[in-house]
Parts: sequence; C-alpha cells; structure tokens
Amino acid sequence: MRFLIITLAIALVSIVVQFFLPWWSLAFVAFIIGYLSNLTGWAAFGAGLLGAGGVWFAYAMWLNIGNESLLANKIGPMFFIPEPLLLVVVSAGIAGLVGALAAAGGRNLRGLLAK
Amino acid sequence: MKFVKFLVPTLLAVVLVFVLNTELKLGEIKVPPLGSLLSPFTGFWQNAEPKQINWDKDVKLDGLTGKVTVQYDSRRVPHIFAENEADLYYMQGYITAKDRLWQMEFITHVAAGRASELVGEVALKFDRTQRRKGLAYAADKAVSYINESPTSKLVMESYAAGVNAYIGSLTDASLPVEYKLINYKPELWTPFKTALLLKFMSDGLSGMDKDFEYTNALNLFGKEMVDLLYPDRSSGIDPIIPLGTAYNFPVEGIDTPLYEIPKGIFHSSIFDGPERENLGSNNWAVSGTRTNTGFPMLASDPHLGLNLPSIWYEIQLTAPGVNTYGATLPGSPCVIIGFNEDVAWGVTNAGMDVRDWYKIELVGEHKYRYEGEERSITYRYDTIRIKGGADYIDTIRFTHHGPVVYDERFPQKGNATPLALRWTALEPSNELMTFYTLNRAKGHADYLEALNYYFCPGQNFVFASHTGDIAIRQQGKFPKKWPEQGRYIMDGSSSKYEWQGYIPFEQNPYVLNPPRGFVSSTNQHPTDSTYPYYYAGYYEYDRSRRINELLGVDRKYTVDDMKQFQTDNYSYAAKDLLPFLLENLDTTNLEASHQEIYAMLKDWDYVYTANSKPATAFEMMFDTLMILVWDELQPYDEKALARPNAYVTIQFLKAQPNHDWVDHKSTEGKEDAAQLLNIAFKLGAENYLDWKANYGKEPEWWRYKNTTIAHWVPSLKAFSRQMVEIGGNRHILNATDGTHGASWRMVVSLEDNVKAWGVYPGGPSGNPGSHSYEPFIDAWAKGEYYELVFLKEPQQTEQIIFTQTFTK
Repeated sequence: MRFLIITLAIALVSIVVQFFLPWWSLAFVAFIIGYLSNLTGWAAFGAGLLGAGGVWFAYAMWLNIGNESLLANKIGPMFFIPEPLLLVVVSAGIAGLVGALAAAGGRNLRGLLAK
Repeated sequence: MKFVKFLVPTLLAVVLVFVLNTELKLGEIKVPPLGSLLSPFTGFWQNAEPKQINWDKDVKLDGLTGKVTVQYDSRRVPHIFAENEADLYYMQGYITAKDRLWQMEFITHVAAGRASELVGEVALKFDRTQRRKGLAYAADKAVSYINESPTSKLVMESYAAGVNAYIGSLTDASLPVEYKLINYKPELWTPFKTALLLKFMSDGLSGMDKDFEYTNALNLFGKEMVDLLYPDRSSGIDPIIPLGTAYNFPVEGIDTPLYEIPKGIFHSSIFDGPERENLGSNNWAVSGTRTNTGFPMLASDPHLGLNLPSIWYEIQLTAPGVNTYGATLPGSPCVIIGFNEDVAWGVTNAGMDVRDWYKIELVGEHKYRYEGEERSITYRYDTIRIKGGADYIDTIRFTHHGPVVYDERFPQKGNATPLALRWTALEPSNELMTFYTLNRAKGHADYLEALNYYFCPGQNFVFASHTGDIAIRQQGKFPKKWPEQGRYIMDGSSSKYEWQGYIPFEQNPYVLNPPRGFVSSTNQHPTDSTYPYYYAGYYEYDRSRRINELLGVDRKYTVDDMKQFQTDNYSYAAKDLLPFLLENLDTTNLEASHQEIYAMLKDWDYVYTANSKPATAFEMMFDTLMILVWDELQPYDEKALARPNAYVTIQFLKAQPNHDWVDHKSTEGKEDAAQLLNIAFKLGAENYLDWKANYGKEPEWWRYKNTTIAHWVPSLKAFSRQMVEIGGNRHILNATDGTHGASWRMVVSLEDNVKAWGVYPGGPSGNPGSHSYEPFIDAWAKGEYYELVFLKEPQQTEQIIFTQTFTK
C-alpha cells in the first residue's frame, strides 16, 4: 500500500512539475519523495521506475494512439526502433531509469543521515 | 556502505541526466539530447498530432487591429478574412508560420549562408559560396528599396509581425520537430528574411550560367565547335511569342566592340550542380473563343525541386479591396500563382542569362584596374558561425561589377584568378509589389502595371481575364548586350565589356490576344530570331512543341483538356530519336532477349506512363548514348565543361553522323552515328536486363525513375516520400523526373463565378507528425485535381470543417 502511494505521489508530482520545467525535473521529484518515503532502497527504486516511467509511458502512449503511430513510425527508425510501441517503452525507460535511481538515491540519503 | 548505497544511485542518476541532456556525437552523426527528444511533455511526441483539428476557436493576438476569421476547408486550406490589409498580412504570416515555420527559417538560413550554424563545418564551403554570391547583401539592399514604398513596407512588416506572434507563442513542447532533432531554436522573423527568401528563388531560377564552361570550350576546341555544341538558337524553335510577330522598335545604344576572351582554364567545382535541364514550368491561356464556356481558361504548373514540406502553401486572402486565392511561398506575403474574381495569372522561368563574370585585375590589396585608373575595392567581412567550432571570418571584395566570388582566399582548383559576378539578382528590387498588384488586378491594364515592378528572376507571366483577354509577357530586367556578350568570361578592366543598359520593359517579349487564340510558355526561347535584341539563356525545345501542337487544334477546349495537357506524358525527344535509332539498328544478330526489347520499343507510342517499360529501356539507351557521344567532354575533370543538351545532341547525330566528335575516342576504330546507336542499344538493353535481374521486378518507368519528394534536410529520409508512382520526365509536359516536377498544378476557368482546380505534392502542414503533411501526393501522382474552394465571404458550408476567430 505504502509502495503504491509513493509510486502515485512520484507520478502525480512529476506530471505537474514537467508541465513547467525540463524533463529532468522528474529526478528531483523522485529524489525528494524517495527521501521522504520510508520504503526500502529497492522499493524506492521500483516506485521511481513505475512512477516516473509510468507517466511517460501513459502520456507517450496516449499521444501515439491519437496520432495512429504516424510520427513514431518515422522517428523510431532513426534510432533503430522499428516498432512504435517499442519507442514508447524506450521513452518510458529513460524516465523510469532516472526516476528509479533518483528515488533510490533519495531514500538512501535518508538512510545515511539516519545513522 | 550506507554512503556507497547513497552515492551509487545518485551519481548514476546525475550522469544519466547529464548524458541524456547533451547533444552526442557518434562518428559523423549528431544525436540531439535524448531526454528532451523522447519526453512526451516536450519532445517529439508533442508533434504527434491527433487526426482531428483541436485548436482554440477564439484566439487573442496583440498585433491585430480588428477581427479576423480564418476558415479551414476539408483539405485544411486556410481562408483568411480580415477587416484591413495590415491584419490580412499579419494573419498570413501567423497562419503560414503555424504550418511552415521551420521550412521558412531553414530556407532563409541556407540562402544567407548560415547552414554551418546548424550542421557544422561540413557546410562551410557552401556558406562561403552563398555569401560570396551576395544573396544576403542583395536582400539587405532590397529591404531599403522595398521600404521606399509605404505599401510594400506595410505588407512586409505586418507579415513579419504575424510570424513573430506565432514564434512568441511557441513553447519547448510546441516547437516544430525539426528544431528538436537538429537541436536549435527559431529566431525572430524580419522583412530581411522575406527578401532573402525571394533572393533564394532568384538564385534557384536565374543563378546559373555556363560562362566558365563556354570559355574553356572556346579556348580548348575553338569557336566553330562552341557554336556547334552550344548554339544560341537551334533550328525548330517554337517560341513563346508566335513566329512571325513583328517587333517594331529600333535598337539603340548598343556598341559591339572588338573583344577578346581571357585565356586560361577555369574550374567551377562549387557551381557544378546537376544539369538544370529538369528545371522549368508550363503555363498557357486559351481564349474564350476556343473554350466550351466561352470564357478564357488558364493553366500554370511550375516545375521545381520536389520537397517536403512543399515549397508552396495554398491560401485564400480576403480584405476590403482584395480577394485572391492561390499558391504562396512560405516566408513571403501575397499569392504568387493564383486568381481572383476577375483575372488569373501564372509563371514560368524565363531562363535568360542575367549573370556574367568579369576577370578582375587587382592592384595591391585595395584597388583594381578599370579604364586605366585604379578604383577602390569595398570590403565586407562576413562572420560565419559554425556549430561545434570557432567562427570563420570571410573577407569578400566588392567591385562596381559585383562581388569578387573567386580570389586567392577562395580559389578555383589551381586557379586563383579574381572573378567578379554581375547578376541582376543582386540589384535592388521589389517583386512583392508585382504580386500585391496582381492579387488585386481587375484586368489587363493592372496586369501590365504589376509586371513593371518585376526585375528578377525573369518570368513568363501568363494572364487571362473574365473580360476575355489573354496575354503573356517575358518580364524581368534583361541586360542589353552586343552579340555573344557574356557568353564567356569578360575583361573587367575595360568599359567595353559593360552591359549596355537594360531592355525597356515595353520592349520585352509580349503578346496580347494573338490570332491563334492561345498563349503558352514552357521555358523555350521567347522569340524568333527577328527580335531586335541579342539574348541567350537556358531553353527548352520539346515541351513547347508539344503544348502548341495540343492547343493548336481548331476546337473548343474544356477544363478536363487543361488537366490532361498538364499531365501529358508524350515525349518529343523519344519521337525524334527512337525511329532514328531503330532504323540504324542491325537487327540480324540480336540475341533473343534484346530482340524482345527491340520489339517493345518498335511498338512504343513515346508516352512515359508510370508503368511503361519501353520508356525505361529508351532512357537507359539515351543516357548511354549521351556518354558515348560526348566522351570528348569527360576527361577534363579539372576543368569546367558542359555537355550539350539532349535536343542539340539528337540534331547533331542526325545532321553530322560522320563528324569527328561522334566517334568514341577510347575504341580502336572510328564510329559513326549508326555504330554509336548500335552500341547504345546493346549497352542500354544489358542495363535493362541487369536492372530486372537485380531488383527482381519489372523495370516499369516509375520504379526505375524513383521520383522522390525529399525533405529539405535530405538525411531525414523518414520525412521524405520515395518511389512515387508517377509517369513523365524532363522535356515532357508532365515534367516529373526523379527529383523535380510540377510543384503546383493549377487550372482556372474565368467564367462567371470563377472556378479553379489545383493540386501539389504535399499537404498544408509542415509537420511530419501530422496527417496533413503529405495527403495530396497520391492524387498528384495520378493526375487528379481538387476543386478549389473560393469563398466570397466567411460562410458555413459543408466544405468548411473548422473556423477560428482572432481578435486583439
């Protein structure tokens, strides 16, 4: 349950923040929420992955469906990604990985300070 | 341990963010910051437009003075209704930028010699060429000239303000996708950029000459060969102004001096483009006495490089005093090719040579010799910014002739002779006023007035009016020359070689309501040889013969005829050459596979339909033949040399089959035309069979031709459209080869309530992520047209799919 709440918190706050700030602002969101959470390091990692990555996945997916994959079919091959869905996953992977590492970093900073 | 557990993920996150936020260089390829590019909040996903329009219905724009309504029809063509002219051109700028901002800016960057800013040092030589040719310098001068007219100043500035209003509304997320991929941002639009765009068109349409090639040929082969290879006029010309038209004016003020041509061999590697035989256009108008409606019909299809986003943008512009519809150039206000309720007009390129080179005798760094005196050189220091490198400062000298394009700082291969360029495109001009006036023209008098504003690039303006007039005039500032002046590089130190002034506009080739009942132009010679002035240029022979044959029948023409003629695939070159080839062919020992090709060609009707196989075989033979005949012009790869055009080649082979130049030098014996044709047939047939074996497909013409509508950045192949299934070729009315073709086809019937049809190979949106990016290509390829929606006032009909209102 706690995991779910933290994941959702990362997702929601990162959405709001990314409408105003560059994409990497999601790292700060994940770091801070990771710090405030009392999950384990790996759980924080997972929450960052799903929270930040999930947002990108859902948003990219939604845009891609509305566009009937027209643009993804043109951009993907430039990066050797022939499948629009795979391009959505790769995009989400970027946010997910950054979010996961930042959340774990934040969580472990708390661990470090708490000794 | 705890420290490590904190440090490792945190550090990894920082490094990852850094890497994903940096432009990376993988070998030659630059990868934009991947995090921003792939973010659905700001990256390319934001350019993945939904199919349905979901824009705001009411928009506030500070720069407006009144209310503007923009209606989109079912093809998403905008129809702008403004209450005054400032608002009209403001909205034209805004709406055009909304669809085409990236291309407008990219083209002006290219014109100004600023490509290095985007792609790095690879473009430096190109940029230096652009600057040394003086396009930005000319655009600068043009702006001051344009500002002298309050009308054109208002139009240019309103347009720029509208473009900037759109740029101001952009966010990281809504930037066109090319900015994201190449990783840069748009800058503000200015009237200077509009002038640059018009100079870019001048460059494309008048920026060619063969002065170096002809000078080399003269020095190497002598005058007799030059006249044979590159005649100013060949026989069989069907000029724009009907044969036999009398020119009743005396030629004054032209002195032909005794002249000499500079010795030496010149190279022009940077100007070596492909032969521009594929550039051109068709236009014509048929008098109401010869149409089924009783009113004139007008057709215009400019053949340009085929690009995506398209060079043209369709629009309707309405304000008090003007209601016009047609093709516009993104970056320039007004309609360029179009119509209104009363008149229609179209253009083809004049091709007249308006570019000459002068050899400069430098005296030290700061002077050059002229008429025995020393004249001062003006210097211009151009700073070229280079992505990922230090700035490059080029020093460009200017003489009274024009910019010194080549000198020791920018030498030709093995030749640092300073050469200055005189070119009408570099002179101040205000072509915009031509289009502004045409957009409002009521009749023939307005048409003539409009044309007088027009200097460069020379165009054949065809015209038709509801009141029944048809006319055509070759318009531009054309230099008066003594015979053969400017064919070769000239001595820049003597006044003998100066242009002799300009031909008065009323003496430009012109005809109104000729007895034959139609006017036409297809880039051929404007006149027969009785025209009093000397001129030379780049002229076409085949399309003119075809269209005049089609329009010369005594019958009533229809709109469908006009469409059919624009997409006509009949080849005069094939008709001229193929029977000659076949009758010279030794068919006694043909292999079975070659026999089949022979039979196919014998039955061919010279029509280049998309699926024609004989067209492919014939093209392969023709290409081979050109190489065989002109082998004398091949080995000089250190020198500029030009190959005669296809028309001259065919005439030459027929008239002088035993000429020494027909012989292929690398073989033992001496070939005559018949032997050469036999070799060309064999090699062409082999080529045909090889192609078939290699690709495992039938060599249908469209497959072999591979018509490609390329994105402006050719490496962005995914934004291009390849293998368009379309017939035609250069020298054919449907002048579509692999890279060039009809960039806008328009047919106008000037009946009561004017009707018009049009199509272009692209779509309104410049966004490769939009479903409106290239929706017209298939119709264009099939030769289909859309009926154009010409509204008298804003109205809600089933043709209108979306309406926006803009207010202050």
